[in-house]
Amino acid sequence: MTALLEIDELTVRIGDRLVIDRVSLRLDAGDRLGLIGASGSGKSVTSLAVLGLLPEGAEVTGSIRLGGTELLGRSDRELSAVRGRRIAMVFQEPQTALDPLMRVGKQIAGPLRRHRGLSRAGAAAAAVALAVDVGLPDPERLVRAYPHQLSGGQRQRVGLAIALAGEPELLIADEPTTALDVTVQAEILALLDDLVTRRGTALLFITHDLAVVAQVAHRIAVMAGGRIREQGLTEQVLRHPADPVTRALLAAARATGFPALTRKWTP
Amino acid sequence: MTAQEPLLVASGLHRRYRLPRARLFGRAGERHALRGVDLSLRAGESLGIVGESGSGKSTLVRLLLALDRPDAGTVSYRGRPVVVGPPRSLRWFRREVQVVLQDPFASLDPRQRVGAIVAEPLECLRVPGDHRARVDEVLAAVELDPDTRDRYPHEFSGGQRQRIAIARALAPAPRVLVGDEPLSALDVAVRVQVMDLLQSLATDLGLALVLVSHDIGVVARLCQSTAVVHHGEIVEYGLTSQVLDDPSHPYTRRLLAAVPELPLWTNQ
Repeated sequence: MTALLEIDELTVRIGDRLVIDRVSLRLDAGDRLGLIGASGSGKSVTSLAVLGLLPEGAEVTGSIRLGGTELLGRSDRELSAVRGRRIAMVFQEPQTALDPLMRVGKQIAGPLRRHRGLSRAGAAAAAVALAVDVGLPDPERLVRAYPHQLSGGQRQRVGLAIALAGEPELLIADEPTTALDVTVQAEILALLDDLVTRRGTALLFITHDLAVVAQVAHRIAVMAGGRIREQGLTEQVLRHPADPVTRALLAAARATGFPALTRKWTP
Repeated sequence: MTAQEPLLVASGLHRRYRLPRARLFGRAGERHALRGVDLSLRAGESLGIVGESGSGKSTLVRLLLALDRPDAGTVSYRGRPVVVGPPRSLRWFRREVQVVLQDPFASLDPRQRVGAIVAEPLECLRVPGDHRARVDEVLAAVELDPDTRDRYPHEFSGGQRQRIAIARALAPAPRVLVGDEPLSALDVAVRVQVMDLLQSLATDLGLALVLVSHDIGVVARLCQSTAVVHHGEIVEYGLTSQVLDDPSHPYTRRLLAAVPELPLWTNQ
């Protein structure tokens, strides 16, 4: 079977720095892969490479295939038919990812018109339906609000609605809950889980948080210094970490994580 | 904990902010950022203040540090009232209570050498003694090389910069260190190192810690007692083990249940 996304020996140089070093990853339809690592490990650059959003002057070799079709070397125009339509992205900071001057309904309607060819009225109605889907309260009123009028959690729900508007086959989520409070994070993770399950969307989830990735991903890949150090089923990798980088990440997560040992109450 | 008099005491702290007018002729609304907060910290004690955005924890820190005036209530240090006023009037307090902020990229002056940055509170607060020697001492205490003093902040990683910020806070030999999310901007491996450093400094120097954080794992490990702030009130306050193991307030339970945990099977 052809993989949905197949990254093969991807290497990225920016200036004289080797940022990504022979990275190979594979995602099948509906699969959920967690990409973990410390800051600067190369995980975000990998996702930007998939979207063809690397900074100008980046030197890229290897291969990135979506459903068997090569994405590397494509023109910006060709890639814009892929971005938002077949691959969509949710960012860490919903504050900066949204246009502050545009009502959120219009921001959700944009990709609906662009990628699904809906009319202005049709897109407006579909935007409200999407707002309902992502659990925004009072969606009829909320689509007329501007981003600054929403809470951080609501903004991230809008970010998800925009990403899902084009009905992508692959959703890339780059630290989507890092900027949120824990109770809001729990809601957004539950929502994300529900949405990708119902729609059969494949998920590439980028995070530094092992506790979060253990909840979300079927498989994980551990990055450090631009390389994949280890990958496999989530439980396998976290139960029997083979690479020193994974072990160090686990040890640090244990040393700072919430000690769920002696709880005398049920959530 | 010793059974001595508390160092830092807050009682009945109230702070409200006026909201921007929603209508031209309407009345401006008010937001009660803090509503009657009581806290007390003994020498050598470590207190965690936990809450989410908008809970009022930052307002509480500003009041505890005498950076802002409460609408009602008082802060006192060893029985002496701490009143916001001209900088000179608070020198005694600033020598005793110091702060480490969240972002070590924003809190260090990029145009000053580390030595000058760390010596700054010694000069501003007119601390007597050999400042140069004191800078070397505190740089050593945070496990940085002595030649650090001649370099600039941009030459250091986030974790090292946070060590510099801690050294600066320690310079006037305070008895209380307030950390406002001091570990949140750090990568997890670095976070462990700085957390361990704070722990050992607290023990070695007999420092009292106030750690404001949304990260319950860190508070659980560093703090003997924990206060949970929600909507401007302390909804739960007690020994950390008690608060985490057997929370009585529904909000605390909701908060703790939301914290992502490593699956238990990873502990093997």
